[in-house]
This record gives sequence, structure tokens and C-alpha cells, in this order.
Amino acid sequence: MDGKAIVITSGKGGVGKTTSTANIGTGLAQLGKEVVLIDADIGLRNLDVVMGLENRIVYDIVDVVEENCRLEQALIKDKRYSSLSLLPAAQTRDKTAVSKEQMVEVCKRLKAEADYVLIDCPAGIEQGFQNAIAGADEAIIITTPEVAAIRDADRVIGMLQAEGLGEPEVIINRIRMDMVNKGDMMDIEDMIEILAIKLLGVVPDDQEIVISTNKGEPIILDDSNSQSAQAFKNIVHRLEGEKIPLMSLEEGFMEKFKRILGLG
Amino acid sequence: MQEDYILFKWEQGHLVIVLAENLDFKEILTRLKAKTRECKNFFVSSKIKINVGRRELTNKNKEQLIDIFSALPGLSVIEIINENINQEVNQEVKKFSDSSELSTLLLNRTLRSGQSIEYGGNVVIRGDVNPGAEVKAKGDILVMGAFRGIAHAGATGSEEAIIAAWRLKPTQLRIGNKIGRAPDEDDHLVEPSKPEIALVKNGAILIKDL
Repeated sequence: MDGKAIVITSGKGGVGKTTSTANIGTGLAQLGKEVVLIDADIGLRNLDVVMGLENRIVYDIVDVVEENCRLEQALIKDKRYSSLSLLPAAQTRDKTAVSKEQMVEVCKRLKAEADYVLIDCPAGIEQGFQNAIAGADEAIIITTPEVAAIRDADRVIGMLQAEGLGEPEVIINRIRMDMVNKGDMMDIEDMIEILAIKLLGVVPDDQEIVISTNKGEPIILDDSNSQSAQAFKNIVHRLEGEKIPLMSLEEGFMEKFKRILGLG
Repeated sequence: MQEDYILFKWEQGHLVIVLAENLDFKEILTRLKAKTRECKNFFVSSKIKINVGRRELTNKNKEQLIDIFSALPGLSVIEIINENINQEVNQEVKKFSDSSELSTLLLNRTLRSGQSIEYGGNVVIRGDVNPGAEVKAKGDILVMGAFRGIAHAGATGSEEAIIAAWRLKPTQLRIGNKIGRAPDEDDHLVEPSKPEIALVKNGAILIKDL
């Protein structure tokens, strides 16, 4: 197999990189894809917690690059899908424990076995970020409708372009349509105009995500028709190349936007 | 000694050639030619930056410099560094009667947050300039897109410089020694719908239709 490695990044912290990685990874596994998640946030590992796999960690990515174990030994199989596994970060080390070259090598070996390698990038633009993007073929930017998050996303897109990851796609997370409609929150059009990249999806602000994250069960597993679960499912299908239109919450908004402009 | 006038050094993968400021330009050319002949093999496949210090060069001078190196195999001059722009800011105000005498840099991309461009001439950007990006030019700045960042035209003190953009929504504008910024109250701000130009008039920065 010759899969692709996608880094999930944002610049700003707390916008939902880890939650998105967990949900997209689980969604791809639901479609029967072989998926490996890499937690590149060494020293502040979270992805294992969000996936509910914390208590199964024996070896981590630093053990792999320091050759304390084989790569296969460090991979943790997901509880729900056998085609999904996680390469956890080390909690007791820091970003300098892995080099760019080692990261590239790890990604290359994992890509040989998987359809998708998703890399959960740490916040910031320092070495942890540089490591996380080193082995990636593509990038997904996560942002929220806040000026600071957009600014950081823009900075990161510029840095990705300098590294040859020229066409990242963006997920707008935690949008609240009621606030957008009142003009209290940035709208999608404004954000896309500044970032000038392709929109991969829009995920609404949803309390259910907080609950599912704390339980270690990605929301995408939820079969009740929660909008955020549906949003992540749509994103997964779009990654697989399907043309899925934006959800009704987004459409409703677009229509309103057009009406204001007198276009609809 | 010859070495005192022409200095070769490696800097971040580029060969930087520093030319003494106090020597006649003709003399520099002669010495440079002799020197490049002397150590021909040293130059194989290098990217060269030429630092001319504070010396003012005409376009003809620049061509002469580039000619010396393009005669050698595998070489490319990628930049001529002029220290003028950094050092003269905040010093004496220099008058440039006509910005068309300056050379112009054309940039075919969008500048994103954290990216900056600084040039000792006019700058034309075919793309947007996003918030958090900076453009600094000795002459005029023209943006064929939305300008949302910080611009400094006439960076060496010329207040005759202008800043123009298809959509001018800057964080801050500087022309010569004047600074202007967007008003704090967003409500008064009308979204620009046509190209605008910023220039200094009566000691303040004024924005009007292009």
C-alpha cells in the first residue's frame, strides 16, 4: 500500500486539532480504510486520551526513533476498528526528542502499510510544528471563527507553502450560526476570502463534542443525528474524493448571506 | 591589499560578495574580474548575492556586475544587496522627485501573516497582503488585490510616495515619516468597493479614490 500522510495543524492552540484528528481518523476507519494516527505533540500528548486508548500505551514514538522497540510494537490498535491504530507521543520528553529526518522515516514506513497517516500537529510554529509537517504530503488547517485563529492559520499556510505543502484545505470548527446570523461572529465567506484556500468542511459548536472527548469516544461514532458528527462524516467523504454539499446549517446561512447581498 | 576591497563569504548556502564602499566603481570592476579569473573553480554552481554596501548603483552598474558572473559557468546572481534602505531610515530625509527613477519589484503571490518584503524601489504585488504581513519600499507600493496588512512607502523618508490597492483595508499605513491607522470603531468603516490610493497631503495621510 502506498498511502498519504496528512498533517492536521492550526498554529493557534485549542481550536480542535486533536478532536478533528480523532474524528477524521475514526471516520476513515469506518469506511474500511487502514489508518494510523500519529500524535506529534511530544510532551503534551492528548490524542490517546481523546481516543480512549491512554491505558494501553507501552511504547511511544520516542521509543521507536530511539530503537527501544519496533514500530509495530508502539502502534496501539483502536478498541472499535481494527484498521485504525495510534502511534502515541511521549509524555516525559520534549519536542527535541525527535528530529525531522526521523519523522520523515516514521511516516514513510507507516505509509507503506496504511491508506492514511494522520499527523496531529502541536500548536505553535517551532520545532514540534516543523517535525510534524516534515513527513506530510498534504495538510488540513483547523481554524475557528476568531480573528486570532484566522491570523495564525494564515501564518501557517504561508509556512506550509514555503515547505512545498502548497494546497492545504481548511476546516472551520466551532461555528455558531445564531451568532453569525446576528453579525456577532465572522462568517464563512470572510474567512475563506482571507485564507484563499479550499474549504473542506464546517463543524458547528456542539456541547456533545466536549462530552464525547472526555469519554474518549469520538463524536463521529454517535449514531444519533448530531450535527457535528454529520459534519465530520461529510469531511471524511470529501477526503475520499466524493462531492458532498455543505450541510443545511451552512446552506441556510449561505442563502441568508446571499439575500442580504440581494443575490438570492 | 586586494582582499580588503572585495570580500567573499558563505552565508546560508549563498556566496556573498561584499564590495568596499570607498573604492571607485571602475576599479572595483577591474579587481573583481581579475579575482574571478583567479579562482574560477571556487565558483562552480553557486548562488551569489552581491553586497554593495551604501554605494548607489545605476542600472548600468548593476548590469556590469552581473555580466562578470554570468560569463562564468553555473553561476547565478540572485540578489544585489544595498544597505541604503536599512540605514537611512530615520536619518536625513531624502527627496526623490520621481519614483519612476527607482527600480520596481513585481511579486506574483499573496503575502500571508508573518511574511514581509522590503525593497529599495517600488513594489507591485499581484495578490493580497493579509493582516500581519508587511511591505516596506523606498518608493511606491501598488497592490493588485486586497491590502490588509502594514505598508511603509517612501521608507527612506520620501513623503511623495503613494500606496494604492484594489481594496485598501490596511492595519496601518506609513508614508515617509507619517503614520496612519484604521479607526478603532469598526462601525464607521465602510467596506471599500473600488481601488483607492493613500498619499500625504497637508502633513497627513489621505485616502481617496484612485
